[in-house]
Order: sequence, then structure tokens, then C-alpha cells
Amino acid sequence: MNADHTPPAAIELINLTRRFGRTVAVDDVTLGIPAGTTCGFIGLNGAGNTTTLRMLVGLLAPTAGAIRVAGCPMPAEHQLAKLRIGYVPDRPTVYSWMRVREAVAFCRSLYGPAWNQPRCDEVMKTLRLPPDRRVKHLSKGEGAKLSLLLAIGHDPEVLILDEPTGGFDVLARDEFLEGLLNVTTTQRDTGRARTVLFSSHALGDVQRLADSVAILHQGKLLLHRPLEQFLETTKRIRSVLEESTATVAPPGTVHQRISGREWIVTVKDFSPDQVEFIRSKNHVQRIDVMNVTLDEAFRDYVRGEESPETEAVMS
Amino acid sequence: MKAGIVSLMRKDWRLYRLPVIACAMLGALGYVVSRITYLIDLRRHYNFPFLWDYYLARAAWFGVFVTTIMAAAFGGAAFAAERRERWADFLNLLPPHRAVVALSKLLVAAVSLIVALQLHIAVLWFTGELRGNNWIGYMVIGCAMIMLFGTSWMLSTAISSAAVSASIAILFTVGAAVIVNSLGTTYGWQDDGAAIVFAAVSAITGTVRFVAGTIYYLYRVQP
Repeated sequence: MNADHTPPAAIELINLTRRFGRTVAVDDVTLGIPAGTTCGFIGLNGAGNTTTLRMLVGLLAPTAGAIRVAGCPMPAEHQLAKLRIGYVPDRPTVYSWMRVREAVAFCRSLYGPAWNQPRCDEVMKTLRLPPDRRVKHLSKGEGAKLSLLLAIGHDPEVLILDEPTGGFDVLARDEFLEGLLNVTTTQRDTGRARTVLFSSHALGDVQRLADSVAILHQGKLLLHRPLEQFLETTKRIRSVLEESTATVAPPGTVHQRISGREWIVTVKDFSPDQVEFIRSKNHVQRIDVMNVTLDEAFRDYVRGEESPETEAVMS
Repeated sequence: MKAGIVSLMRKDWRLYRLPVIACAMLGALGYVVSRITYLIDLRRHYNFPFLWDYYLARAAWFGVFVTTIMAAAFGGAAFAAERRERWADFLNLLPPHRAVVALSKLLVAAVSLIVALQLHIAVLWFTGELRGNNWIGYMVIGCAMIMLFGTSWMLSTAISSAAVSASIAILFTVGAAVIVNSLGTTYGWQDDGAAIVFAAVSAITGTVRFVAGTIYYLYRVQP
């Protein structure tokens, strides 16, 4: 993408590192998320996603590197950033004894004029939240919806969600995602671009919502690309070998596995040259190029990082 | 801002509910036990020499003692429970500055403790127990409260258990009292010397710990 056409980054991480003792949870991550876009932040458990998001919202100090969210360097300008950031944690952190309407009133009194009550009422209706129920009696889905409601009540520029749908049933997930789509779309309609960064293990959700995808693995950023481009340029090349011999993988191989005579290579930045390379360097009977889903691409990227050698699948 | 601190104080009042109830119940227990003891003694002795006021005063002193100890519970409950339940994360993302958050907690704790103390002191005054010349005793109580509250307040900014914070604060205060008393005996301090030294040590240590805990809370990143 041409730098001139790149919108300013609403979220910027520069060489961000966080250590816990000897463990490096986040390792030299540099990432920029343009304003008004939605980025899916994906990784295995323990990849460093939650740690990164907690640093972004000022709940954790980085060991090294710099963070800028909605124009505020974090954690130095945390106080100012509070009015520009909304955060939905992995489980509700609202006071459990409060009723839903009390939690809303509590936030409204603390945000003052920045709180958009009409919008909040509207979203509350859309999300079908029971106003008189205590937070501790809410279901998982309702708890996440309340967190979302409280996170967007002050119309933040940046919305950060940390696995908001973890452990949800299908309907609860659908309702939550519809609510999220509703709040992000409405914000775009009003002309103010809201940037959304959300981490999730539900890659179908990411594919449905995200404009770009960032993959974190063992604390390192494997890639950050527009989702469409990522899926267009990541392909699986399936070859049937003439005999089970050693294979020569093409440049750009992310992961490869052999099952009998079937050899599947996942490549990044796909080009027909890679197919030609396979054809010329290996004895193959047949070659097919297959599209991948985000789920498949993610698995192959992560497996490729964990076992760079060819994976032999027992058949 | 005004609405904000009122909301925070209402929230803290709810957070302090457990120590408030404990303080009220233990304080009331003293009066109940005194009344029962009084009635038993009244039946036992034919020429009973004591008035009800005497028993009432003993209950009030017990109430003062309980309130003093409860200062540790109020300090310990300040931050620990919120952090353990992750409510502190939620609060940390809301606009009020941490100084306002801490002020709200301090006000609610101070008001609760002062009201409880005043009730027992009123009983003491009513029974004629308050003597103008016992100022050292009142000073020791006040300074011990500062030590208990300041120590557990500081600990609760760093650990996630109100009970542990309060227990350590009580241990520190009792330890200081024992050490000062031993020093007084060893070096033969006159009259109220040990009490004055204990009050001074408690007031200074408690204040320093309170300030240190507050500064730590204000300047660290984690809630």
C-alpha cells in the first residue's frame, strides 16, 4: 500500500516487549493499525495477546518499546486515553453486586458530559440487557454485552476487545457479534472512524469482522496484513508425488506436510512461479492450488513456526 | 467531579460493608455481653454494689478496642478486594484519577471509623468514664489506629488479600507495643514514657506507610 494513502495509525506498537521474570511474553512487536479499521488479533493460548492488549489499555507497563493509542502515548497519557479507549476484557470486571442499570449510572456519573446516554439506551435495547439484574447473575453472554455497552458508552475512538466471546454458545456469540457490528457500523455512519482491535480464538468471527489480521505466536508478531490480501496470497499447493521421495519446497513456504504420496505445501505471497518451482524440482503427477480459510492459514502459519521441517502425517 | 466522587464513595461504602458490619456487630456484642453479665451479677449478689453504668463503660471500652483493631480491616479492604476480583481493572479504565479514587476510600473509611469511635466515646462520656487527665490513653488509641490503618492500607496496595493485610498490620502494631514496653521496662522509663514512645512510633510509622502506599498506588501502572 502506498504510504501516502495510509490513514494515520490509531494504534501503534513500536518494538513492544514485556517480560515476566525470564519469560518473554511479548517480544519486540511492531504493529500499526490504521484508524477506522477492525483488526483481528489471533494467537494460541499464551501467545501474548492478552498481555499486549493489557499494555494497550494501560493495565500493564511494557518492559521496553512504545505504545500510542488514539494519539496518547501509553501508559504516560493513560488519564487522557481513558476518554478515547473502550475495553472489553475476557471476562466482565464490573462490580458484581451492581445491577446493570446501576453499572451504567456509575459509569455515566464518572464520565460526565462525555457519556452518550441516548446511544447507551439504544444499544442496551439492541443487546437486550436486563436492566434490573445484578452483574453476578448475568450469563456469560450478557456479561460480555454489558462490558461492551460500558466500553462504548463514551463513544471511544478505539475499541479493544480481549476474547469477548470465549466460552459462548452459538446464539450468544451471534448476538454479541451482531451487537459489535451494530456499534462499529453506526459509528462509521456518523462519520467518526472507530478503530477496533479484538483478539479471538474464534477465527470465523475474525473472518466475519476484521479488515486486517495480526498473528502473534510465542510473543512474536508473525504477520499483520489486510485480511482479504492475506487470504488471497496464502494458498495450499497440493501435489501428488510419483514416489515417496525427498521434496524441495518452493520459496515462501510456510508449512508443508506429507501423507503417503500426497504433499501439501502452504505458501505465502502466492505466485504461479511457486507452482512451476514445485513442478520443476520434484517428480509430481498432479498439482492443485487451493484457497484457504483463515482458520487453515492460521494453523499452517503456527505449525510452520513450531515445526519448520516437513510434517509427516501417518496415514 | 462532585457526582463522580459521590458515586465512588457509594461504591466504597458497599466495598467496606463487611468491615462496617463486623465493627458494628462486635461493638454491639460488648454491650450485649455486659448487659447479660450485669443481670447475672444482680441476681447473684444480695447487696450488689455496682451500677449499670459501670458495665456500660466496660462495653464502651471494648467497643473502642474493637474499633481500633478494625482500622486494620478498613485499611486492608481499601484496594485488595478490588484487585482480587479484577474490579480494579474496570475502575482503572474509568475517568477519575487514582488520587480521587484513593481519596474516596480514605473518606469512607475515616467516616466509618470516626462514627463508630464517637458512639463508644459518647457512651463513655455518658457514664462519666471520660477523664480529662487521661489524654495519653486517648493518644495511644488514636496513634495505634493510624499505625493499623496506614500499615494495612500500604499492604493492600500490593497484595490481594484484605485479611492478610489486616493481620500483618495487627502483628506489626502488637509487636511494636511489646518491643516498646520491653524497652521501657529495661531502661526504666518513668510513668507513661513507654506509652508516649509507642504513640510517637505508631503515628510516625503509620503515616509514613500510608503515604508510601498512596504514592505507590498513584504511580504504578497496574491497578
